[in-house]
Amino acid sequence: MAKRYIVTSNRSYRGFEPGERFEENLSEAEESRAVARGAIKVANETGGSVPTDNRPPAEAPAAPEEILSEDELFPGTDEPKE
Amino acid sequence: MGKLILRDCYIAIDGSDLSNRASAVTIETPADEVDVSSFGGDYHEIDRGLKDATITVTFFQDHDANSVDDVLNPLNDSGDAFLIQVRPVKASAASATNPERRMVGKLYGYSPIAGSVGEASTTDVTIRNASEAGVWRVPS
Repeated sequence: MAKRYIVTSNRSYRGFEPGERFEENLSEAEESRAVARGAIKVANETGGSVPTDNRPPAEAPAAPEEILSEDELFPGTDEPKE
Repeated sequence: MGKLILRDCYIAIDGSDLSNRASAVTIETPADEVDVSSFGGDYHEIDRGLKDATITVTFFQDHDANSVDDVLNPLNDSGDAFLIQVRPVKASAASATNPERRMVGKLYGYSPIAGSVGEASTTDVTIRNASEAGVWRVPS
């Protein structure tokens, strides 16, 4: 299975330029030799994921009123709030 | 492309581009000459036998990381087969007018230091074919 790599040295690797990411089917020996001499490294993609649950954690306050008083929430207003 | 003067060959060993440390390269693909002469003829009858492939490169020695020694020494120690790629012009991708030759080969020796006083340390590397494919052309 193809893995993702990044060229880490100042020499191109298999035609890929320094800093470039690429996907290749390298054998175990090819990968270990190239990694050992600093030509490439395995690109560990840690991209973000979309949360499936948007609810706040259980310990979070359910409403802003639980954190701030009414006066703190609506400063400078004397009119009654609905 | 016209007549070619080598100025910017691309030479990659085990994936790493060592072009700017090489000063000469030769690709040879001879075939055995097999004598198939039989009675009744006046001449030897020669046919082609198995082919062979060898790529020879002259490098200026460099002990930097991922340079000549760092690439070649482990290959010579391990005896592993590796890919070598050579094409006439590095700046252009492999194409019909800039064909790349590839071979999977092995090293059967390596001189990490060679030269005399005051001379650049060079090493001639001979890579022998290690696969049934021999030297192939990209694009074919």
